Amino acid sequence: MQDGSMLSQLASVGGWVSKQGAALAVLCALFAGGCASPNRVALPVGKKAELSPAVGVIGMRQQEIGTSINRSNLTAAGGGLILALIDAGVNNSRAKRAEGAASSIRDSLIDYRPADVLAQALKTALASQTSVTLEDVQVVQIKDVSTLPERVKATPNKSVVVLDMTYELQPDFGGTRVVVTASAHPANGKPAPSSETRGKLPPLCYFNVFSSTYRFPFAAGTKPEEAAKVWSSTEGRLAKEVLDRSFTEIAAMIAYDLDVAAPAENALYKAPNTAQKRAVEVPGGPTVLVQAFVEKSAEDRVWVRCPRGELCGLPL
Amino acid sequence: MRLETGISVACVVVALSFAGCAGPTTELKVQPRAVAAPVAPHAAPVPILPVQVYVAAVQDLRLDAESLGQVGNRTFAAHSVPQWIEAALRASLRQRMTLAETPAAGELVLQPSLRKCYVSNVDVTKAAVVVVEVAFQHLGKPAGSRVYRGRHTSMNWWNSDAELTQALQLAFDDCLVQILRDVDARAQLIASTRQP
Repeated sequence: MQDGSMLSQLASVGGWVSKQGAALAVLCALFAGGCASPNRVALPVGKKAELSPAVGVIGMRQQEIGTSINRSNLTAAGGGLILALIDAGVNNSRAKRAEGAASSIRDSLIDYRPADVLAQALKTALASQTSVTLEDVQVVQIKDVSTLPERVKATPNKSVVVLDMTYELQPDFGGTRVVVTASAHPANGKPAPSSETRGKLPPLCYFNVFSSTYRFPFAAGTKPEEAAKVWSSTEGRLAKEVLDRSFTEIAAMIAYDLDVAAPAENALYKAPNTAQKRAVEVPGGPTVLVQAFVEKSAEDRVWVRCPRGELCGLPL
Repeated sequence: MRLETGISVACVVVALSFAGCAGPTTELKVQPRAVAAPVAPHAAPVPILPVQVYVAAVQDLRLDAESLGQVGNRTFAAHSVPQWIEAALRASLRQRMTLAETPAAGELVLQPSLRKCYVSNVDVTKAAVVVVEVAFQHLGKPAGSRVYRGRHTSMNWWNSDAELTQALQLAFDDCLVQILRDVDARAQLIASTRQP
């Protein structure tokens, strides 16, 4: 009787969890549904001039350049706890090595102020490519989720262009990647804010995520420690030069993107028939590769548009 | 089987619900402690150096005086980091030499500046970094400056306050040991110049 009761209790728990599972499936479907809409919020056509005068806020998430690793994923091959533990051990070892190798690069960049470079590049790009004038650009360290919203609310009478920036070395130390989330927040309802929201950000009229990746032509098989010596030599000249280019490219992409209209009826961004396609890592999200299309190319660089609207600067 | 699937699903739900959360900022508190520059095993006891050392107040050159950064979805902060460094540096130096009360009385003067202090994570690994720059004066003359980088990286097991505090403490220690080694060499140089 007792066994029967326990079994029925277990069955009831199983049934409860099964219902939760069904709920989760619905939740996942909703998530997936959400992923099928653009991440980018386009500035309404003809409203760009209403952003002026604006102030800029650049939020730094890091105090120094970050590192990244190629994640071991043995679990995907066979599953199981043992393989998951091996993955964790391998990833820990790779991360420790990357952090160790990055020290010399970080030392060489100790006086480098990436946000100041981005601020100057943004002012220049907006002034030369758009009619938006940035009166001032503040640089802040992002302390928590409220840091940027508080800065926007502190400037109610002017539009605020917010950039949330991260930058890191690629896993092989063969290049750098800068990711910037850009948003524009209107003052006094002009331009009219979008009905869409993004995280904890205040009402916005524009939103997109950008990345800029630069590679240095190291010989195949160059170890991270050897690459680090090259990046950091001559007081980090190469690292500074590459990061400067990335920040300038990001600023140019933002100025360009303010003029790009949204697809009709909230559709995803589709490649024109003639456009080349590139597999890219979606900036600002989990490590997922998507097929993006080349929207603009110049000299040795291409700008590719992801299906959800993010824009990535890549080597040709 | 259904139960097992259900429990897995429940775990995913819990994980998802936590994944979206970024709770309030957690304050980490490190206890300033004296460290000693490592000496070779069986080495003779290190004598107290007859040099007066002055340690100026630590300048904070960081963009934000409190933020320590983010590990996973948790944000961390700390107050009084320059004061921790100053206290630990003074306590460590007192073991090897005499601390001067004023810069004028110091044969060796240290002006430390805090450049970086943060915790971060790369995948399952947590990292803590402390970077201090020290400008030196030998016998009243500028004697250059040097940047000391203390760091600690290890597996992030629980993302707990205790783990992150320990990581930061070890990064502090690593930084201090490097400073002490250098100060020791400089003090010995000053002491040797005073020999008849």
